[in-house]
Amino acid sequence: MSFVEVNDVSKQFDANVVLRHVDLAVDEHEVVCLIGASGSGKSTLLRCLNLLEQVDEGSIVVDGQTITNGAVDVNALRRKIGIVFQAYNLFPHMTVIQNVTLAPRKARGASASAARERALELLNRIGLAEKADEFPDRLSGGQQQRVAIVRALAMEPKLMLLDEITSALDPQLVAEVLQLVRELANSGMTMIIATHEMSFAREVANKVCFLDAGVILEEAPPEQIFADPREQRTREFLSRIIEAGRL
Amino acid sequence: MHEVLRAFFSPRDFRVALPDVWAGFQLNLKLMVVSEALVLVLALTIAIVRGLPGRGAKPLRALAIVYTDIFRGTPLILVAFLVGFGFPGLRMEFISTRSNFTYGVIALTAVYTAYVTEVYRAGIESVHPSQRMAARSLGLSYWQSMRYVVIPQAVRRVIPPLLNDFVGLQKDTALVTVIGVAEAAQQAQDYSQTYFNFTSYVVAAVFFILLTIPLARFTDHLIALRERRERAQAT
Amino acid sequence: MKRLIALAAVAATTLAFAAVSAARTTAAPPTMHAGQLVVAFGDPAVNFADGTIRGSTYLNPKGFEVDLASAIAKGLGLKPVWVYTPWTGLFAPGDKRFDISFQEATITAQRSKTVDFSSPYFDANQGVLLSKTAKTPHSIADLKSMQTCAQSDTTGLDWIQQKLHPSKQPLIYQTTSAAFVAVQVGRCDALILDTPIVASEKKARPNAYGAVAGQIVTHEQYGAVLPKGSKLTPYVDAQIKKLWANGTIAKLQKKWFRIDFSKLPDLK
Repeated sequence: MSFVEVNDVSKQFDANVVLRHVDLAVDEHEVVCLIGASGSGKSTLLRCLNLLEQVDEGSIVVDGQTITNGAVDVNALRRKIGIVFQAYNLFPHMTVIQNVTLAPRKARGASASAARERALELLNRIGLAEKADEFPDRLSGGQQQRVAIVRALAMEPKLMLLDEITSALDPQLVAEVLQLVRELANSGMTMIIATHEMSFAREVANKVCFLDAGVILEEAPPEQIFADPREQRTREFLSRIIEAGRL
Repeated sequence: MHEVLRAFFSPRDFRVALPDVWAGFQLNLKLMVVSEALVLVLALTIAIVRGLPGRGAKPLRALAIVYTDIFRGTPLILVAFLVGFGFPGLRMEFISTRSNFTYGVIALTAVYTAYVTEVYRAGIESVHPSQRMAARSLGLSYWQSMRYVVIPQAVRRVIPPLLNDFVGLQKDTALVTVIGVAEAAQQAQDYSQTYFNFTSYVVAAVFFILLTIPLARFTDHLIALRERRERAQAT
Repeated sequence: MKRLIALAAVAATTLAFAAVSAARTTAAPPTMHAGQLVVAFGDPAVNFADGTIRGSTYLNPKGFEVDLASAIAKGLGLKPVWVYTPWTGLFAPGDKRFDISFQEATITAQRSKTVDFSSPYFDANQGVLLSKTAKTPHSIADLKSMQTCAQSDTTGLDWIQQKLHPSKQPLIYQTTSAAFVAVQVGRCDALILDTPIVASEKKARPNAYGAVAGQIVTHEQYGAVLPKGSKLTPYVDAQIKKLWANGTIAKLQKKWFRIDFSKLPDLK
């Protein structure tokens, strides 16, 4: 059984249909990349997985639990799933280490010292331990994004959702963030990544899904989808990317 | 010109009026400190109630709206009369036997809570929804995300208007003279009616001004401190 | 002979004319507006001047002071105009917005420094109005331990602060009505204010208060207030003298105050 099962999910915002009968299965330790134009539904799909959005039709099962039936403990679910956003969203009134230890202490009930220890371990891994007592406004964009990832990791999630986490970064800061994601993938974390970074997707993904107007038009291993896409629209999309010099 | 100086700025009258006006001003200080403390807490509570999600909280939200509408719309002097004369008039145990000072605190607190609630509410709503989203995504509950993420940011943002309202409160403590509290304005009036010199009013004014200046400088300092932190969002 | 009669006739006419015009100029009193006497009353006081206040005018005022003011105006050949002016600032130096004000104001040396008073038109003492729950004081010493109240800038307040020295600070209110309400709701035990004022109020609303416990003999006299150095003052005094002499004032007092103040016990 898959770790994540999306079954025939549809979602609309007012008159705008954003997801149309989407089916997706993600196995444990699998890394799935979602590609597609802006507005194709990538972000919305991710946010349905941790119930930041409610689906209109269909069902989603995570770790054997149906989360769309209204009876699930939302907070418990979100402790299992880490999500990182394009705008990093660090808490500006707290230091870096406070950002990382807040949820483990309050949502998981960890002691202050245990949470701090784990946080420093994680910060060390990304080389930002000496920034532990700084406020986010003193860090570069790339550093803030890596802290955001580590903040999510501190909760020891079973699934990580990354929503275009490099799109807002200066190009020279993208590499350090991608390196961290690479390490996560190699360590066996189950991940669903929405991204514009095609070469990165080709490198880390087990499976790539192309979303077009709310539908998963094509789903295939990266070697296949980038080299020889089956659908016309996939081809169009990829050729535009190549033209823009991003592949 | 000489007449004006003598009537408003007479050094001799300043010295003579000072002790009584100071004695009265201590009442203003007490009124201010007690009311401010109550307002800070009550207003935050009502602002949070105002923002409670869900259909079940609708009656509570409605109550919060009614409260702020009523007390922002009623002049403080009317509320002071209502409390200062109305409560004793009810002839009820406890409610009718409080001191005029207590009634003054109640009136000031009731009115200023309504103003400060709106200030807090604006602050809470100005915190970007992505902050709440990030907190909830980490598994923090609604209350935890409010307490650790939203409200601390909201309060820091509204410190200037908060302190502005408190300067208003400090000055409005003078109004409770109408329910018989012998604070600074009444002492000044007493002096001026006996000696026909208005310098006593200037003495009272000086006390009030001396009180608000440090507060104004402190506000400036806090604004500068806060500017730094919020820039994290922009990078 | 005919020429003498004609001369006499001319002389007589001239004299008559002169007499009439002389009478007119000496009788014209100096007021703010020619032909009018602007009379100001304060907050409504039962039996003295009670009416509806609209902005700064008084509609249908009725009372002893109203009748007295009307009589004085008539005697001076002036038309009375009724306005409202608050008690606060009545004795402050400077120009006034009225020709004359009747507000049961006690004549004192201190006040006479900044305003003119007419000759007295009423004798009064300080009365003690009790709340319904207050214990009856039998002497001034009993009053010392009670919660007193007074109106700002009154002789009643002066008496409390300078003669009584009570153990609790008196509560001071801006207006007579506020002071009365304070007694009604039990904020204070005893209001010290002119006997006629409290006695009239008690008679009008007997169930709102306790008894008028008695009088404190201060031998006060009411005078009308005019701006300091007003040229109208001698005219008014002349009228008041006339109204005492022909019994009008006594008659008006009897008409409006069917209360015998002498029946109230004197507190010592």
